[in-house]
Amino acid sequence: MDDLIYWVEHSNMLLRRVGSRLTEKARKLPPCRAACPAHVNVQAYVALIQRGMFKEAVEVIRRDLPFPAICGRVCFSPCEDACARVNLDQAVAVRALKRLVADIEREQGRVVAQPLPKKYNEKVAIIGAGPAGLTAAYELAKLGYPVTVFERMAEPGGMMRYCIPDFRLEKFVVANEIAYIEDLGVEIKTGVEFGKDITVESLRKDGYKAIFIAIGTQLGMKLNVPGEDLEGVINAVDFLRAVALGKKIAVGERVAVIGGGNTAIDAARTAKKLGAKEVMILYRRSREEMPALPHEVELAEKDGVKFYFLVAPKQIIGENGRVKAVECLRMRLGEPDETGRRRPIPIAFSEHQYEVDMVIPALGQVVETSVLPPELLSKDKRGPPLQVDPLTLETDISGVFAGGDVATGPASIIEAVGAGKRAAVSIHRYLRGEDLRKDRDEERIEETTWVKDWRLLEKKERRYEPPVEKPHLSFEEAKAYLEKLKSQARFEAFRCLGCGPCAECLAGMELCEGDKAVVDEGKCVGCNVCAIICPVGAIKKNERGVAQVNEELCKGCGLCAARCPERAISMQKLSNEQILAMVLTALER
Amino acid sequence: MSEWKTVSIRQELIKEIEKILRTGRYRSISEFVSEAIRLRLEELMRAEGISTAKREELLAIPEQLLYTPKHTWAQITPEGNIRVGVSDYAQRHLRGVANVMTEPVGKEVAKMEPFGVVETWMFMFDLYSPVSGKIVKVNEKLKDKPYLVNEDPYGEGWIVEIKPKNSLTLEEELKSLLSPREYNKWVSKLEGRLRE
Repeated sequence: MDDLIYWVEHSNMLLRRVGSRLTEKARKLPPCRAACPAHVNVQAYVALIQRGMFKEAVEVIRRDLPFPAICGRVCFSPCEDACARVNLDQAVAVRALKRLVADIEREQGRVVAQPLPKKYNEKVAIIGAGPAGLTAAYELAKLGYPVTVFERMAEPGGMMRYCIPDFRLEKFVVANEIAYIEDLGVEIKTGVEFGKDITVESLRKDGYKAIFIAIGTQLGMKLNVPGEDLEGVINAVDFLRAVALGKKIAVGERVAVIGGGNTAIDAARTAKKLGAKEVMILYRRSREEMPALPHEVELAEKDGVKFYFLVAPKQIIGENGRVKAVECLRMRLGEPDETGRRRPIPIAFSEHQYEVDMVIPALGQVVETSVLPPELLSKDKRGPPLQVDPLTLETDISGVFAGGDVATGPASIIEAVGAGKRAAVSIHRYLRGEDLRKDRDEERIEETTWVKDWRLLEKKERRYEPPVEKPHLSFEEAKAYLEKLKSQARFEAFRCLGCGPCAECLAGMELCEGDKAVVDEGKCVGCNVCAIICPVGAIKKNERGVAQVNEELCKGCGLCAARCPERAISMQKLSNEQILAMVLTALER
Repeated sequence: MSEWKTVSIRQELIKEIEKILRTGRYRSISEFVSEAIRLRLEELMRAEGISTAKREELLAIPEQLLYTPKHTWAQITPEGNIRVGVSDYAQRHLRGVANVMTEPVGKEVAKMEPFGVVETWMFMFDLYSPVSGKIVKVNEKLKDKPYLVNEDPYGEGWIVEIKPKNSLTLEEELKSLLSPREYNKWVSKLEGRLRE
């Protein structure tokens, strides 16, 4: 009986048996994993953190994502938005947990990966060492291809290296994650410019059988207002890149950043940290419509950045060739546009000025079309500049693929990782002569969760909030600090409902309880109590009036067995061999 | 942790050692002796076939350096500067050194005041200067390879070189630093505290 109480209390926390999650048509995943563009196995690594298996947790993350430490810091965490717990209290702090496990792994010492064996001879060229390109390289290296990544800048990493400021994402984190990919046998050539040093034709001549273009969006968008060429106007991307390169930049005393995205916030905070006395963000919509992450906005406010909403620049006023002020118009919000945000409408005669000596437009980025081969560019000037199949990432040239920001417009790291993974699958199929479209995971994935009745679940507030800044500690304190973080993280991981089907962590088969319900048909009287109690609807009366278990759905919680008045249902334990066989068949499918 | 023992030396040997002392290679008889014993031990261990890693662990604290209680070491370079790094004991607690940040060249530092930070993945560790003076050199190699601090804390992994203010204060300051033996004791004390 004690056991049963334990089951009922913990049934929403424990990993359930393998084998329930794959059906013919759809690949059923928990909401967090389905929401992640890279489909990182969130449920599995959170379950491993529950058990204190931090190292295994990082390994699980690395199966889908080569940048656990980077995404643990700057991902916009769609998994947390999708988390089933949102309906109850707050989402599980997935991003913070990811950061912690990745950091703990590195805290034990440098991680050096073993080079992977090369199974195939076809060379693959990847252009752009950003998140999309590096992920594609990582996935292709895992498949066994010799991969070369070409990068224009002196250091690989793309926007992660040059456009996210140091206080959000430390440079050594990026360098370390990339070193891991290099250790696996990926070759990265820096200082090579696409369109100048190499072209599609020259790569073909050098024996590259497939090419993946992931050059991202490198040019900052223009304001298109008079006075943009004045001294003191610098685009956010150029500004952040110059800071990352260590160039000396004279930051003005009063700085205006125009835009409401993450780049705008980054630029504003960087300017503040470089010594600007007053930094203001001018955004044409209101705070609710800001695309920047809410907690980043809060941090910027803490740094002393001022926000002015519903203003748009009309012109930049200069004096002796230098910026003196920005003239703005007030806005009001109209009907929602195609992005779902309310469209700003200028109010006539509402001109007013902000006195500034530096203006940083951060309106988004566009593709540098001049470096791309002209046959790839789309004819339609208004649409995306590159014509790419959204599923397979093929371009009009056979054997050339393109993805990431270059195809979608500026997005996030994790979306670029998703694109990189898709490109790797496409390139693998292309080189092996397989059908690029058949049975793609992206089309099959379906979200599923067994949690239906929120009233049954217990509320637990989020406990784990990682420190914003690293503490200065001595060893004695550091040890206690680490232990504290670890136990907090385990508590936080226990908030996970384990609401999806089996997490396929494959890490410790013995962890899984591996139970399933078996009905003794001779005893069953068809009272239907089990069907009512089952949280996943896995047990139903069949046409013969006897309870029947749907093995695909059964999570082995044991509620039916406990409730059955006739003791007709028993829980049968699966042997480890049986579970292993199920995992293997599941993976083959 | 190694144990400390008293060793007696023959009188004629002492005279020889005193001659060497006058050349300035060693500061005291005990320093010479411990060095000699260290070398002999190393030889013996090699003969016994003890692995390099184990040997290094047993001989981790080099004898010719001076230490601060905050786990930095000081070494006099041939040019008369003081080279500073973190001790092997510190390195073992800072396995994940990810970044070493120091004050720039030309900056004045005072004794037992922080002159930089070792950043690991999860926390920061302050570096305390063993002497007062001006930073004249920063180990540039650590920029790309901060893990050198872990791999070779007493060699390649040095952090800065400090030009002492003047020789008088330097002598006093060096005197107040811990000798290897004192540092060893201090570390064992700390270890005990950590275990508690």
